[in-house]
Amino acid sequence: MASILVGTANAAIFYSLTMQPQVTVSTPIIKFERAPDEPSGSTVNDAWCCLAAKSYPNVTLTYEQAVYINNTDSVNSHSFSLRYVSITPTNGSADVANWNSIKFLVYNSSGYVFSLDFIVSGNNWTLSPSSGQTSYYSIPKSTGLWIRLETLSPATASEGKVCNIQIAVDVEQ
Amino acid sequence: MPQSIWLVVTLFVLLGFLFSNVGGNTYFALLTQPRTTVSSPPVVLQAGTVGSSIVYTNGTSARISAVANLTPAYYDYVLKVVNNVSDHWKIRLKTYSQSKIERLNNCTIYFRNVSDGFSGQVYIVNGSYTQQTGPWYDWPASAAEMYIAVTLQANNPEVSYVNVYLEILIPDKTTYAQYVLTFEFT
Repeated sequence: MASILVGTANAAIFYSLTMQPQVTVSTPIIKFERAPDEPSGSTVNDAWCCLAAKSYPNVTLTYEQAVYINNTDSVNSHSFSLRYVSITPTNGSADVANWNSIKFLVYNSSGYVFSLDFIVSGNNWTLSPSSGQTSYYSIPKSTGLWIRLETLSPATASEGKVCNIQIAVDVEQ
Repeated sequence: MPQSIWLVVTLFVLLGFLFSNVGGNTYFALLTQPRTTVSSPPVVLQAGTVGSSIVYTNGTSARISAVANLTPAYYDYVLKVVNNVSDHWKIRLKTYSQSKIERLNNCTIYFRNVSDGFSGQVYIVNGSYTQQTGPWYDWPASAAEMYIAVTLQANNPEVSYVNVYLEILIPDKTTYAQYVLTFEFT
């Protein structure tokens, strides 16, 4: 009885701060834009793009400017990197052997910057860089880069096989 | 007195750490989802009627053999390039490696078709390249077939190899395919 009495005697005093976040729907400062070699059937939005590329058996197919990555900030530079998220067919599947390599090479007006490559070894994908993430690169204000997409399938590749990749473009705002 | 100085210094150091940690970064991620489909090649290779050609699976790479003599030899149809779709292309040959070309007094690899004849692509004169990459050749959709031809002359009986890409470009774009061709000159 005494403990109940003591327990209820400990009162707490509360007060509230007020936070009023305002969330505005905006266009990302770094965004995708359509490029001359966008594969037919692709979709390119500001923050998301789906590139419908092809690969041919025993042929290196290059989309020199598949999609632009533009820094629309007219004042500041911003850094970004490419980061692997997922790929299907997954490692261990015999379907992986329908490709030799799928490469995403980033270029600016001076030339090659960095790349994220998916190389096939047996029935497994090997990433380069092995961490699955490139280093960060700073895009100067009001400047564009582009992704060069290269595909190569072996002579034994089966027509109609599809590889789906997800890559995040991490941007430091 | 010295104790109070140390206290102030320590305070400044701690404040320094505090301020260095208040600078945060904001990140966001765009997402790209490339989908790559294995497709039938729109242009394929077929063996020619002179020399000896091996066209590999899917018709996207080939090995072409021809004999180089002390006197000039003309092979006007060592390989056929066939357009399987109704698209217009630009094509060219581009060398990427070779061996023993020193023995070739003269080697010309060129395109020809039925209507407008000749487009010189690779030239070797007196054992050295004088042209390693050919000019883009407009290949109209109406001409479904293109031929690769070779002129050869050598000064000894060794074997030379010239490895080239047949590059097929979509006009007004920079999307192109590279087919591997190996020329073996015995």
